[in-house]
Amino acid sequence: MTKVVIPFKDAPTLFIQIGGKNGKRRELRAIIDPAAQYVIIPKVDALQLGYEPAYREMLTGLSEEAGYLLAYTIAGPIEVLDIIIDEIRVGDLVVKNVMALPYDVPMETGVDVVLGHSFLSKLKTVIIDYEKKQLVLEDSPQQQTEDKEKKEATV
Amino acid sequence: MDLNTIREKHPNLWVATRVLKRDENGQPIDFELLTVGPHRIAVRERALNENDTCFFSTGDVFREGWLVIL
Repeated sequence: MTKVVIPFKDAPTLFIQIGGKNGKRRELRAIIDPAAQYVIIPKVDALQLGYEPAYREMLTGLSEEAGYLLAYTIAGPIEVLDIIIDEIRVGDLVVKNVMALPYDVPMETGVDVVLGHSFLSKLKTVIIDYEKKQLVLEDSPQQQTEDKEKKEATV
Repeated sequence: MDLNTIREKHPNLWVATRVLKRDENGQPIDFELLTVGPHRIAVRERALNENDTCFFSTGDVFREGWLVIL
């Protein structure tokens, strides 16, 4: 099992690496939000990392034909398209096939990415320790087995 | 250049960087600064041809005076 321990200052933030469909990799600052159902990444990054629905939205706009989802935020409903991110990496901890929404979190938050349930639920342990001001993430043996099987299947 | 130096030199902006060194948990600790600007998308466009780029805001999470509800 892989475990990472990351100190934080005020809010539980960390740097994550997102793998693109086009082979590009992008590293962004993320915040842990267990109340969010999905991972949220900026539209521009979804686009530049080659995730097709982001192109679809740009070309056609959001329409029923495009297959958008109605997402509920605290500010009300928004229309978004879902994507599956190939890989999110935090050091040696790797989570594959993570459902995400291309949506721009306001710049005033100072973060680009929200790590919600679609990422956190694939881990064995998520601890936000406000006393020690540290974040602990540990992956599950199931995730490692899935990755190993996929690797062997491609050989 | 470390994170605090970048934040001090370029406060409340967006930056594109290349990571030069990481700690044992994979968190970047040493950066080469590629470009700086006030807009998230413009900074990305200026670094579009770079691979393995690290983008972040040098402002606080969350900014003073703002109440953020996600």
